[in-house]
Amino acid sequence: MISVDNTKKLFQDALSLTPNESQVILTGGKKQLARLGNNKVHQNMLEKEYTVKVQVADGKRVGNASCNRFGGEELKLTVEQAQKVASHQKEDPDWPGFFGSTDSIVDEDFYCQDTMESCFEAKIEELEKVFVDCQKRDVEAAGAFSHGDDVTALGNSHGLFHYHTCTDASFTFSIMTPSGGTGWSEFHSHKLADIDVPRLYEIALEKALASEKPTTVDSGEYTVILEPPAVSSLMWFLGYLGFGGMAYREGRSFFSEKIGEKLLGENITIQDNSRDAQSFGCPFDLEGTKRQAVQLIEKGVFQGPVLDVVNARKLENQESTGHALPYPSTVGPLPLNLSIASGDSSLEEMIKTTKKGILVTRFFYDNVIDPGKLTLTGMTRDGTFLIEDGKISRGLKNMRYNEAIPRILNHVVSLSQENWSLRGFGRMSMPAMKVEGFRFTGASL
Amino acid sequence: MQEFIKKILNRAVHRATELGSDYADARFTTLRSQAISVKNGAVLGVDDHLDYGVGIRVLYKGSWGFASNPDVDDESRMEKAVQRAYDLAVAASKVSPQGVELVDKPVVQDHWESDFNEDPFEVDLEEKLEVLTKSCEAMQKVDGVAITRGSMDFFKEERYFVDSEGSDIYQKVLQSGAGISCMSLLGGEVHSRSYPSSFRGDHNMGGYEVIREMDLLSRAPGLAKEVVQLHNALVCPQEKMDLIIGKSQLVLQVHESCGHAVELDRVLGYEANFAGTSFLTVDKWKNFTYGSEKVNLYQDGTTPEAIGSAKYDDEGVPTCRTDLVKDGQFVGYLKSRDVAKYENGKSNGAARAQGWKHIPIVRMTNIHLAPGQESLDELISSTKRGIFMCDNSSWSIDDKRWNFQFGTEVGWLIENGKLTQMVKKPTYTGITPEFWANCEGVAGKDEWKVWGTPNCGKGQPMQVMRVGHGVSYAKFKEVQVGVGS
Repeated sequence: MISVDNTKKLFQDALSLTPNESQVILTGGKKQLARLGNNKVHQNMLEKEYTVKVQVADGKRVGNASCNRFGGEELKLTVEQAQKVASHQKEDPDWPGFFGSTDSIVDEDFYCQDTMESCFEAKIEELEKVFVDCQKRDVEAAGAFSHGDDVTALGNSHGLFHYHTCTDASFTFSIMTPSGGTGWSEFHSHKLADIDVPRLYEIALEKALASEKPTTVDSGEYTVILEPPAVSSLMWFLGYLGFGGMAYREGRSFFSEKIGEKLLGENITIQDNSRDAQSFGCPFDLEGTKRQAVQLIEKGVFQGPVLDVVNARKLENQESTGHALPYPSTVGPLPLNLSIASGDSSLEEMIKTTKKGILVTRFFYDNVIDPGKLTLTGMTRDGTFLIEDGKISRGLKNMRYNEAIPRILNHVVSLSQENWSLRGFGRMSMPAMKVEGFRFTGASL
Repeated sequence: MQEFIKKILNRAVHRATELGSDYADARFTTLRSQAISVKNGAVLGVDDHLDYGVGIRVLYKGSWGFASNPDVDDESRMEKAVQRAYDLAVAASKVSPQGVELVDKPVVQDHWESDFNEDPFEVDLEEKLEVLTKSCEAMQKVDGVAITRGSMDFFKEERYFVDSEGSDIYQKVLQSGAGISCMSLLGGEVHSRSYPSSFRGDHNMGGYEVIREMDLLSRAPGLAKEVVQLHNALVCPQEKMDLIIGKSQLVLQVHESCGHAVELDRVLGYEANFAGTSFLTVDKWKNFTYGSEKVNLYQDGTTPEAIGSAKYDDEGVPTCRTDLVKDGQFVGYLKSRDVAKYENGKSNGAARAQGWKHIPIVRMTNIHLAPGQESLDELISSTKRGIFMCDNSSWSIDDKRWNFQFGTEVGWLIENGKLTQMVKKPTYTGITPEFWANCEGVAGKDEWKVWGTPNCGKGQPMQVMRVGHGVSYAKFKEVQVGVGS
């Protein structure tokens, strides 16, 4: 990890190299990752890199240049390149300028020293028992096991300085059987010690064995129970296409001009909050604004998008909520720490109360069909099950869905009490949900 | 510079061998890139980037360890990186009794650079911006166009490779790409049109001449008229009918349903937790009908204008041309040195890494659909009822590459051998071998062109690679269209 003092020194060095208004953003970190496949560790790697992005403004002409070097000639060349780009740029009429602030943010709330000092090799050795058991059972394990830290820092010629660091540990596990069963489990935390390898193996194995010799069901509408990883895939697109201030302002979002309208079910409340322990993230954005907790949907009613300065200024009576991506952003501000408020049910209860339905462990390769209507397609993966009379009756081959997110979120009949911490589009905190009338249009072989 | 880098790499490889590694390689890459984005005629941003560093890969008792280090001139950090790579390999070997075996490759000392006429980093920024802003302005003049975009991307990459077997290779590539697009939002409908293709356009090996040949400005007004027309176009019918796929969409069809499916690491389960596996299991090698006799797919890492080309891959193996599907029969995989033994063959030069901090894995270089005998006109005139679909808007495929669904920006209904009405939001779906078995014709070499996609993702941490695809047009019978409307 680059310390606060070293980051300040780097920023001072960079900012002193130009007389222009300027800003420096540091991102990067150190990550160790073991990839598993065929009951072995097939890649075991360490990566460490930090990128320095220099932004120089010449009036309303802005140039950016970045490099992975911190000192000497390379940093000087990067600043000069940003300056050169600025001088050859056209004016950006929307350029908001860099902001000063006396309230410096230094955030280490989700940094776990033990995680970085833990012996990763010892954790990997826990896998040996798993691999031996897999071989005995004639099943195959695959997965990814990682831990590391991230730093995001921002400083500018107006004296603003923000610094955020956190740790992250993740384990995703797949088990495959020779007769077509697959199972999945995952766990994410900022503490490596929270990862329980034997328990995650048990979950994935149980699913894989239960989904052996999968069959098909007809396409059509089904009651579905979506486990939290499946919900997070849908939320990824809702955040990207729906809640961003630029898409909202330009009329591309499903939510454009609909503040105050009830568009989703009464039981749906969605928030973006970088201080949530499960969906934690950087407490400032890359314009330097403090990231606010934003209520996006309250009991089905749309409350407003997340904003950066540029997009807030183009809307009446709005201010940035602190969700800017690095300038220049082609997609505008986005929520990176989404959560859906939990309910009062559980996965077990959802299954027990389903006469006929489908349990989806997770989705794969989701993509947009119609961005304005938030219509997606994608496949189920790693554990799709038929539920009959309150019980899982058999495994199903992967199924293709074609559905609109607003339609899904208007047909949620129950949400789990427990939320999972998940990764993907930033970090998320998602419950399981039971949905009526979910549309499947095909299946895999 | 070259001698200095060579010395560092040789020292790293030597140290890894001293520690007890069975094999080691070290790669130094330096990447200079420029990304230009314009929106509604205003410059959204110009991003210049430079990075470099060393990646060290070590094999110990059949297990890989990999560590990267950006501080190449710091001896102690280089030493630490080598030690870390070795330690990781040792740790992996303790829990991985059945390790990998590397197949042989030639030992080479070589130097290679891709061809170009005009270095894009020497072209004035004003000139590049003018092309994009004027193209946006030309699209914006058409009533009903709400948002216009333009982009250019340039990559200059130098790669040094040294391994413990004695190879010593320097390569330099220069790649350029650009595209324009427009969006129309009327009555709650969102439509887009792009040229030469969607998602930041087309990319090729070469310099600024690649951009000049695109002639973006001349295509802008027609593109804008089409996007507005889409609001009044026919809704895509929901039925099984003949489908002719246009060039840039056929690129993605080849990429997703063939290119990824023939990656041998996926087949063997090494991507099972992330990108998925493949239906083309080893028992199907030379024993499976992938498509009709019209279907000939091959990889060619040597295609001069293709963005996935180089003389050697990132394991120092010479790139080459190899058949993947021959006259409809599945005959070959994409291979790296550590998975090639399963096919009783050699690596075909398909191990690639995004950069110095990434470990090489099996990747597409350039995957081409060989030209056939027909022309686009003949494919259309022989169709009683069908759709001609162009330019991708949406793609999705399952983790074994069986079930896919694609959407395109635009389509045209074909009735009695003629293009009749424009179709909006066209989609189609199928099962890969059933779909390719219904391939009735492929347009010939006069209409064959190499395209480049700059954003192929695979691996963990995700590696984004630039991949080339040569295609023309192809016709498929009895395809389910209009799904998900």
